[in-house]
Amino acid sequence: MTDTVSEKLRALFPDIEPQKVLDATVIDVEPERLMVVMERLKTYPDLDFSLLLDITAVDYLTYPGQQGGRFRVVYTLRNWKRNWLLQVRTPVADPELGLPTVSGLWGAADWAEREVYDQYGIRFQGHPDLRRILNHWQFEGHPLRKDYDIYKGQVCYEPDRLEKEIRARLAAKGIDQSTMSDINTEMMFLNLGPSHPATHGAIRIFTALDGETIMANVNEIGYLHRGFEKTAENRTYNQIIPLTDRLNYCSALMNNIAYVKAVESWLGIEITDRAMFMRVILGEFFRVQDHLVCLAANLVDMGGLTNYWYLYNEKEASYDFISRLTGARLTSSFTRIGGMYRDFYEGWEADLERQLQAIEKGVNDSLKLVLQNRIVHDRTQGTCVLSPEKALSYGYTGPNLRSTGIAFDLRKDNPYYHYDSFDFDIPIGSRGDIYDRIMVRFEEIFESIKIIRQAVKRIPAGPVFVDDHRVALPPKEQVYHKIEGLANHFKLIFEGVKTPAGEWYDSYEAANGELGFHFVSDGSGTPYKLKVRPPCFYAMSGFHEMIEGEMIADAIINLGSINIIGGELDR
Amino acid sequence: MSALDILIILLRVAFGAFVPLSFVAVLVWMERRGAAFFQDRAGPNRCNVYGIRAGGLIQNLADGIKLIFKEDIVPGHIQHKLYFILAPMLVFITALLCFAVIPFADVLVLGDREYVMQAVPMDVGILWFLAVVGFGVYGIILAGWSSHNKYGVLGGLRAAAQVISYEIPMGLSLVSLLAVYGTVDLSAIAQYQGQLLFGFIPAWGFVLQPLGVIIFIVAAFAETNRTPFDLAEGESEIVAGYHVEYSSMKFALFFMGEYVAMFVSSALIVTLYFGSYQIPWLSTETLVAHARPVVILLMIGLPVIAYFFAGWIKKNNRTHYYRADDPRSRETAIYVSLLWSLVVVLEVILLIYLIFAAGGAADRILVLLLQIGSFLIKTFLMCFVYVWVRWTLPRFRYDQLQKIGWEKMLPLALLNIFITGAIIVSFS
Repeated sequence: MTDTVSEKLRALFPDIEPQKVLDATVIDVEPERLMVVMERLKTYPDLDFSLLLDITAVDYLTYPGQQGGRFRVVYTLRNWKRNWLLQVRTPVADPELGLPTVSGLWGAADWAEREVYDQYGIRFQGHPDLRRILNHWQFEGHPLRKDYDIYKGQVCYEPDRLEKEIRARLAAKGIDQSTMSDINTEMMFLNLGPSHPATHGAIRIFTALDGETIMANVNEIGYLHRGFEKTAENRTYNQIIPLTDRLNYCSALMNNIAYVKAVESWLGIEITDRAMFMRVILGEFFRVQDHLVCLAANLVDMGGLTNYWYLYNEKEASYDFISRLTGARLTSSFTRIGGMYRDFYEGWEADLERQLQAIEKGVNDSLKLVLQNRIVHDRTQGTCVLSPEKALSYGYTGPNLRSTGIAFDLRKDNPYYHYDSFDFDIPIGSRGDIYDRIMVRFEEIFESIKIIRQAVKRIPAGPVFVDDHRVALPPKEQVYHKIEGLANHFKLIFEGVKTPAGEWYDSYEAANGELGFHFVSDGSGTPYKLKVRPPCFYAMSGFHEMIEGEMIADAIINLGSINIIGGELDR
Repeated sequence: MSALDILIILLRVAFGAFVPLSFVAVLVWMERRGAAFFQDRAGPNRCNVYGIRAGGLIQNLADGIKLIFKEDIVPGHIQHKLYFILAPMLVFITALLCFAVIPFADVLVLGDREYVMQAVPMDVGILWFLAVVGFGVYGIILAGWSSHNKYGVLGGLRAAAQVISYEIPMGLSLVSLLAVYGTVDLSAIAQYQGQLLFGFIPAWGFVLQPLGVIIFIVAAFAETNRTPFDLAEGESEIVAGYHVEYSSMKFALFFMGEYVAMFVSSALIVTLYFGSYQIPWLSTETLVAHARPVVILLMIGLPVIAYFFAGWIKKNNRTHYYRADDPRSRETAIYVSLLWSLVVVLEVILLIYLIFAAGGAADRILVLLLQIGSFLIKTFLMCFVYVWVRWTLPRFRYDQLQKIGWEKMLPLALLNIFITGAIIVSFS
């Protein structure tokens, strides 16, 4: 498949040599030609890279044997129809001058470029609103640059007023105070959050209201920013696993799996079959948990508190199963590079099946309250509609994208862990409204349960760890009695799993969408750079498009329906 | 005015003032336990005084104590402190005053005097209710506005819009009801419902006004600001709406005001549509005439009910695992002995009545008590419907709420008036 993308690229840009790295095709583009290339990639029907997954930069200041400039910006694109993954790399000579913005082509570039600017100080010419995003507005320096001290924290003493931004947004929509004074009214600015019962975390939704109708909206994130990516540069590969628990804390184990999958695919390690099935079972189990939390919270926002208990009680009970398995309820840290931390315990099948039945009962109870409920229908149908074009432009993935009718799911389109051999369906919506987002999640719960049941039947016996001493700890027998074993153990613990030098991107269908990891390795046991592609960062970046023109109450349930998780959003 | 007159007036006023207040405790308890029942969980069951938990009622005591001892904050940014303090009082007092006109038993005839069983005997009845309940929303608007908080203002605005949209269908559904009863006096309305339709159906309001009862109940739900109409509070949207800046007892007044309003509107729904204090097929005169058999039935029935109730307590109120000297069993023993002593006391009173006082004024008082009981049970059940709806339905959106009020309920109420009018004219 990717061969064809290479051919197409060669035909279009004869002087560019595409390389193949894992699933992705990588091309290097000179900054002067960037706009031309990007525009063609987006608009040329044969290529049709409609999804801008991520933009990040790499600082090569301390990279061994570095040639060329210090900074390089990497664009990750996807053609969802043919499952082509493309990375466009372009060097940045002067970060102050930076690169031309691509935010005119993809809406997702707006926030993605802001993040690159915030973290690396690379400017994007022509960007409409180049401000910091994850770090606060009083922050000085750019934390992901290699010369920024990892232990240097900075405190914000004053909130950002955002008034300039919202007035610009109003002006962009053609509303000014004079139109309001014509009808003898005034606009009201209202902050929903950062601490608000419906933000489920800390997100600031700043709105300009006419009555209860939202005229313009600007959002501020970063309240939960804890420097995941900077911290990761200071840890060995296995030490990062506990950090990934805190990304999407509603489905912690999925992050573990996504992370180790990305490292393993670069190492070329084929994990054992049993480990694969375990990851499928646990991944799908956590997908169910994530959807349960999302739906429960969403229905609470709507005022239907009883649904919360029907769904959340089961999630709570599921945590008992998880804690029997992993020893922790939320911070599972259950995977290791090369396998799983340990095998399932004795009698897990019965516990799991009992839990699945309980979940089915809870979900069906909740559906009984929702499915025929006229109030729910009126509140959710046709509100906060997201068109498929907008969804793609803003980089939506996962259930949010599928609710607009686009059948893109990495489990089907780029199967891993035997997903191609399971019998399951991908539910999609038809209108992209809140109702579709809710119902897609309800349906996915049943589909995931279907996958789990199949996997439980098929799971083979055997080891859960690969027998490869580049990654796996040697047996205790060897560690205690042989110098080779002891040295192997020591090296793996202190220096970490050594990965070959290089750059790669690998993604996983998490509960919220495509969870990608972009690595740069310098050949040592710690990543030189690690960038997460969090699905809800991009969902949030398109939030204002959905709620402008709707009412406060809609904005609240819309926030719940796109499932914003603070830990993943702010990292 | 004789001493008896004064005593009866005092009793009536005490009933009108204290029954809604004590029902607040019961309703808060019912709300919590009811919610827990719907949501598959236990609800408050830990608070206790020497191991006595009274099924969770002690929690209310703890809440009351907490609210009284919390700091009473008037935020510094508030400019109109008088209105800010006045608002919760207004909400609470208007809710309480509404109950004043609701009859809780039939007219008591003692000798040659008749006593109307309302806290304030008034023949304007339902008009008083409409006037006072409409005034209650001023408290909410005032609270929202004087809080000087955007969420508060939004809550106040929502409340104002909601009340305007729903008082009209409510008033119109009452118009057709009043045409049926031919009076606005609630006491007369209650007496009217003691009749039998075609000789066997109790002539209760909901039989006479099947459409009107639905409109009225929906409007009454909207008046009490409870889910699905709790927009003014809109917890997940505008945080707490109009009472976002309130704390301590000022908040408690809003809170209690909500439950008093729920009790009062249940009482009114019962009065207008569900036969008020009437016991079906047993009119006041029938009861007075057959006081002795009624008492004997009661004397037989009470122990039977108590027996099953005690059995139910024993079955459920115990620790479901082994515990040395189970405190739950001790608690159960106390409940059961209290229950049986209550039964014994009642039996003795009834026995004394049978032997010494049967006939005359005592019969009338007995019937009065029975009717009060019937009224309170019906109101309690109606309150349960309130709880049931709250924990089943999600919230409307601001514009949808108004759309239903103006586009659906108003035409339906008008239609109801025409149908009712046509039927009344053609039959009279």
